[in-house]
Amino acid sequence: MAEDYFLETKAKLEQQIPEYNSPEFSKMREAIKHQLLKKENDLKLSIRRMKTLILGDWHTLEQRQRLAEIKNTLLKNGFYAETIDGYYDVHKKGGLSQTEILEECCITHQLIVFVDGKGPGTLTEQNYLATEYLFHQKILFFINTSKFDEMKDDPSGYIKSFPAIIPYAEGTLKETVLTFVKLRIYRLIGIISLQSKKGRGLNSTNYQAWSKRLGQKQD
Amino acid sequence: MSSELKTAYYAVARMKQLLLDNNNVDLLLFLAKYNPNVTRKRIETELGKDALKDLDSLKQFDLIVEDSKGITLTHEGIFQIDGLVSMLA
Repeated sequence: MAEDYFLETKAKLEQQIPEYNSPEFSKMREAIKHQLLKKENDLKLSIRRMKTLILGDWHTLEQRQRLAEIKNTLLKNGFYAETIDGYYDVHKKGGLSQTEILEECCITHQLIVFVDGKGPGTLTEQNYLATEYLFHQKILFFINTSKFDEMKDDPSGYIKSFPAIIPYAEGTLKETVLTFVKLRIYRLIGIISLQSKKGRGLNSTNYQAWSKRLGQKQD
Repeated sequence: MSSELKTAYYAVARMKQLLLDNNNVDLLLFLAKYNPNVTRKRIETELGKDALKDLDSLKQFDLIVEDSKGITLTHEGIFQIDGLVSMLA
């Protein structure tokens, strides 16, 4: 079974953090506060606050391990990531439907990593996201290169619904996801920083969304 | 998306301030060291009553949860504390 980042990290923290009331604990606390005050660490805090949702086939053990490995790779590299199964409460009657849970997660996560698949749950998610244009700017769609090569000459195929299509070679999915998540998260943080510095968008009370300025209606 | 980025920007600024306030770093390090299920009573006894002041804010940031057994770090809480400790490396 894929390693569990959270169990391992918690165990590591238990070792690293000194006993409470020891001078070493106080030193660690003061050192952390000192680092928090440094401007250059704002970037690290911002990056770690961005959330990525990983979607894909998860019915077989192999499929679940694949998603867990992607999640662990992102977490170990400082990018917070979740798979959607954590949001399902199978014991709760009358709970949210799959679509409702997906919608909630898409709202709360800044990036969606969608791994192409053919499970019924994946197809439901795919069909939902294909028509929810508001989420399209968040989605990175990963597809095996061999399948992409079969489909790329047919623009009527389902993959056309995703604006960011990223083919990956067999055995390179984790690394490819990490590369593109990193690029996209840094881009988002860059936008936030620039808007903050220029007083546009974030800090300007006069800011208008581009769609309004251009007189366009949103779908 | 821009309003969402705005929300994310202010959330980071608020979280940073929350971490600098009161004994919140102490509390998070304490939970990371002694979790699971540290009770309010234990926090009050060992860290002082002031340590309980920002519990609700820490919950709002999804860093901790509280149930009948006590207070526990969430996955995001573990991740963020790992980030804080790694800043010392």
